[in-house]
Amino acid sequence: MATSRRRARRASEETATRLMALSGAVIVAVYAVGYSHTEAAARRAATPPPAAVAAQTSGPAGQASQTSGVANSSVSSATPATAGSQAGASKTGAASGKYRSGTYSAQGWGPHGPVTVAVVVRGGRIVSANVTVCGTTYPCNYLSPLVSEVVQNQGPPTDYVSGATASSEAYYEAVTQALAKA
Amino acid sequence: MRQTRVFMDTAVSCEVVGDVPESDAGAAAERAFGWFAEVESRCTRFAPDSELRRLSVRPGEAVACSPLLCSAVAFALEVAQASGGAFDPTVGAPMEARGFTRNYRTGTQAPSGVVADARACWRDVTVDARAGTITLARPLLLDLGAVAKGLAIDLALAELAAFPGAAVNAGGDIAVRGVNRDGGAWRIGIRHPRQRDALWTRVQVQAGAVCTSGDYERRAPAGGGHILDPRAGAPAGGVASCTVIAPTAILADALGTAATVLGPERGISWLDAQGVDGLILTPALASFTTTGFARWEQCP
Repeated sequence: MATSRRRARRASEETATRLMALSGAVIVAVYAVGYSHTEAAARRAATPPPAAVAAQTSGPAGQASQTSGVANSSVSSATPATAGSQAGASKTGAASGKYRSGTYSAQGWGPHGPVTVAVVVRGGRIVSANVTVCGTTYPCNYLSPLVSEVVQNQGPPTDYVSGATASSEAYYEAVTQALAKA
Repeated sequence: MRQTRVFMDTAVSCEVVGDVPESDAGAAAERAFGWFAEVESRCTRFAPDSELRRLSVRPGEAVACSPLLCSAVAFALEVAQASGGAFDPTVGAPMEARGFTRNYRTGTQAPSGVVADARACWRDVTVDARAGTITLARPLLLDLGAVAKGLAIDLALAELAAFPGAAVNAGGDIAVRGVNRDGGAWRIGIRHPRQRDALWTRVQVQAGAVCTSGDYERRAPAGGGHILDPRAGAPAGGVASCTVIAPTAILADALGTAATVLGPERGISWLDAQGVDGLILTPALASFTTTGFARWEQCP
């Protein structure tokens, strides 16, 4: 009995080793071959699908501006591809602390649409990070706890979120892009 | 620098960290996105001219296939065998029957027209790596959804290896290497399966992949999640979300799919046996973790 358990465990360990080794070998082998075309396909990916509707409406900072009824199950990539360059800033003070004082605006993009934030830095510290434009398919007031969290943590609490995320992804990206300018 | 594009019906972002010229980072990101285009064009079942679809209309023949498709299918078959069929890349036809037929690029329905043998399973697929062929013993439709995205993530990240830090995020499946913007390990939140925009926990990873699938994403038109129990022909139940941390995204994604089908207790035991770490949350929010999962978790 003990022998069969040991055998089963050894077989299981061998399987584990094989799968892990195989997954690494697959990457190395396919990468070595390289890819042939894809430039056209990559450009095509930058074009929003016809069904995509970039819902974007203005709303007061930190509040929801719902675009109910807008079908936005597809996402456009044109905006996020240039999100970094869209980050704007108006600096009002000298550098102090981790960030330079000023108001920094940037847009992030999640599966449900874009979110624009304005991050205000004073004395090197983030004092607010409100949503200024909510373009998601549902209200951005879901993001209110995240706004407090960003101020408390002095930045997004994570680099990424695993799992199909809602607008938290867009919000964190926007804050990250804004702080990159600070 | 972070750039985002759309591939595989999801937002894909590539990020590089370090004091490098923006042009170098941008060129590397383009090459990384190129891998997504390559993997998608070969492995999608939603385009009639994909390599996978062309293979699917020639059952009984040894069809010459690219190294990429051969490798992806061979890996999927290994996971199928290791999981006793809980993971099965031949679920394409049952997935179509449940309404997963929409081509996201065109927004139109794009069923393959393949009339699959109801008895078909992973044992009906043979890869001859030396000859570079794949043979389908019965009419069937492959679905590489749980393998292709992970493969593309890993290949894209390999393209960014020259930088001090890099991350690739495809709809919440993430692979990282090196350092984050603050020079530390990458901090990755794991989504709460029942509270939009809330995190269940956070992990820190220096090199590896974190993939999560949940019943909250990609619902079938007739109801039910996007992960099918191939043995029952019905949506896998009992798991709200499953997260796997593994050295590669292809491994994390595929093992997570199998563990979801196996259910919370068996799934976690099986992940443990595979030498990876994972977290399974049930619809009632009971938490099951592998023995090593806690070492990844970040202090609040």
